[in-house]
Amino acid sequence: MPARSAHAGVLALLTFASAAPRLHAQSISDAHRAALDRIEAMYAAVGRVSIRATRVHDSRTEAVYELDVAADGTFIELYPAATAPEKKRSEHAGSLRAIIAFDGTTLRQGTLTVYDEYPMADYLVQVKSCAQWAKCPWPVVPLLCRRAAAAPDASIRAEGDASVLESRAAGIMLGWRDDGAMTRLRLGDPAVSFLDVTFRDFAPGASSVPPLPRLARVETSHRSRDGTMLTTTEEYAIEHLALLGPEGAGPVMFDAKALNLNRRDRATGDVVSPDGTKLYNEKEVSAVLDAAEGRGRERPWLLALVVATAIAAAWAGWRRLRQGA
Amino acid sequence: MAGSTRIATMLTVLITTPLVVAGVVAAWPGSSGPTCWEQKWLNTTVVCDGACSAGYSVCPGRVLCMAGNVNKKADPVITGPFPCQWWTGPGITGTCPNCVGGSLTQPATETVNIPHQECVDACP
Repeated sequence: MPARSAHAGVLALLTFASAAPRLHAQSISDAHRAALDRIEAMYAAVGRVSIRATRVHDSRTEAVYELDVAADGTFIELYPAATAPEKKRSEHAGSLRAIIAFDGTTLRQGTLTVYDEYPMADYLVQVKSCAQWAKCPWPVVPLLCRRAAAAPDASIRAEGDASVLESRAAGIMLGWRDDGAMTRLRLGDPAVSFLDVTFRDFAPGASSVPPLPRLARVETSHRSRDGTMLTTTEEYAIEHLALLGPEGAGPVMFDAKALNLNRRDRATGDVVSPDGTKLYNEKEVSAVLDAAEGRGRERPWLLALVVATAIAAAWAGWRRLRQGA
Repeated sequence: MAGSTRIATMLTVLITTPLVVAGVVAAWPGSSGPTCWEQKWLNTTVVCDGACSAGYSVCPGRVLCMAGNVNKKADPVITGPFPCQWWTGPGITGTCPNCVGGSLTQPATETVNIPHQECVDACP
């Protein structure tokens, strides 16, 4: 997909999001509007960010996420396989357990080295909020602010020493301190499925960038199949790998070759390398193995048949010899 | 004497020719064979119930050790339970069974009984 198309899709989303507040935000006072503008400006300076999130307080160290998020909501989230001491025999260090990425026009999701493509220019609108942003929302905060403020039920309130912007309709709740530090983010519908993230242990901000946290407590809740609400809570150490600033804040583009990933055509089953070479067809591979395993199961019967025939022939020959005698 | 020499020559040719051919084939560029075996999920399906937003599992239909298009037959195929991937949280879209998005969540809630291999000497 050409980068220009991706830009166009994302730009359309941004235009929608930035134009709307002036139309709908009657519930936000001028004072609150000024505070919101200040937060938007602070986080616009972040531009684009790369982080590594590692699950803490847990002996299982396989939960490491590498995440690249841009201001327009494009992202790549990588789930690296377990590191050497904990790896299973079927995995290997340096490989990926899974990937999910959105470049403005296409959502890509995959397991190990194979991914599927889902053309989805309106992904950000469809899902309203995105789980990937939750662990490092800084570049997307201006977009989230505009979305929440654009909703008819948007409100800003004081909560302890923080200000809270909330819109149930937009599925967004943001909390921040006076110094701009983001203390809380909730994404999703609290009645169905949501992430509630609290941030702490803030590093002092640079001149134009607000203080950024080193710890994130992520509460994931979703309604189970029997209707009860299931909640899991995990804490992550956040390591900021890169802050690119507004100058380097282009969309996150997907590079299959750099990630050593192969594309699967869901219709045909063809698995194709980044340079376009067909590696194999998963349906054909499975069919061949199914047939081979079928033959394997037939072999004992064939052997029994051969032995039975041989015994019958020997018995018939023995009878003929006796009759001849 | 001449007969035994001829037999020795024939034996030498018979023994060395296959070795030379095998050596040439092995050394030929691109024919060195796969060196790195990766786990591949084949024929993956989505397991879900009702709304995708409640979370969904991505489950393989078969798991093999492969290098390119070559399956490593030396690793035994075992049919038994294999863990799926569990995706949950906001950001899920689509209609069951075509769920997409969300975030990979541990541990897996679903297993499937499928033929699978463990890559004993997987990629380093």
